[in-house]
Amino acid sequence: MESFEALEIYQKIIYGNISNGEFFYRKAAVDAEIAKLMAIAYPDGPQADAAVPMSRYEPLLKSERKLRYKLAKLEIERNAAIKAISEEATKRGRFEAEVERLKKALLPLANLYTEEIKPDYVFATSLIGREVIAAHKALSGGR
Amino acid sequence: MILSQEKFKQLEADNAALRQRLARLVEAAESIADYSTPFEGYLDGDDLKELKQAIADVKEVIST
Repeated sequence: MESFEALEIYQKIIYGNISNGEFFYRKAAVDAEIAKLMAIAYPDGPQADAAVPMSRYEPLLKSERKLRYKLAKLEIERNAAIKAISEEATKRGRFEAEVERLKKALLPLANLYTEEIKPDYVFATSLIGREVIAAHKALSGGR
Repeated sequence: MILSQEKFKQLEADNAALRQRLARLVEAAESIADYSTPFEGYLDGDDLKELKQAIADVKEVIST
């Protein structure tokens, strides 16, 4: 008898949905099938299985716990990476804006000393003069 | 994850370069501001004031 059929009949017996004649006629076959199914489901016997219910599943559960832990860890790392990237990107935007702002603030005075007031030799060779000229060159060149 | 790490490293490198660039600009800006301070009364508008404010703000940004 097919296992599925055995279960179906068993279900009918339990729910009292089968005639007495059919029940007695097929009981032995059904019992044999049920015993076979029980042996597959509970290889150590139902009592043994109840007594050590987790022993057979423990390795699987352990693996599952390990996997879940790894997944959770990866998710935390992923979120931390996203946060770090977002923070660095924000920082870059801020730095770029500050470079532009400083260039804009610096340019009028750098222009004044290097273009409007023509630097004389003393200025151009002095430390500050060299710095002003270099700054102006950097600003004008957009470096 | 590898892509994220590469992106993060790239951003970090960009920011390190920008930080250096800002530091150089601040140095130049401070030189110009120091040089200009004695002539403040002769300079146009708020150029020097704005420059000094920008320097202070940038220094704060760099330090973060």
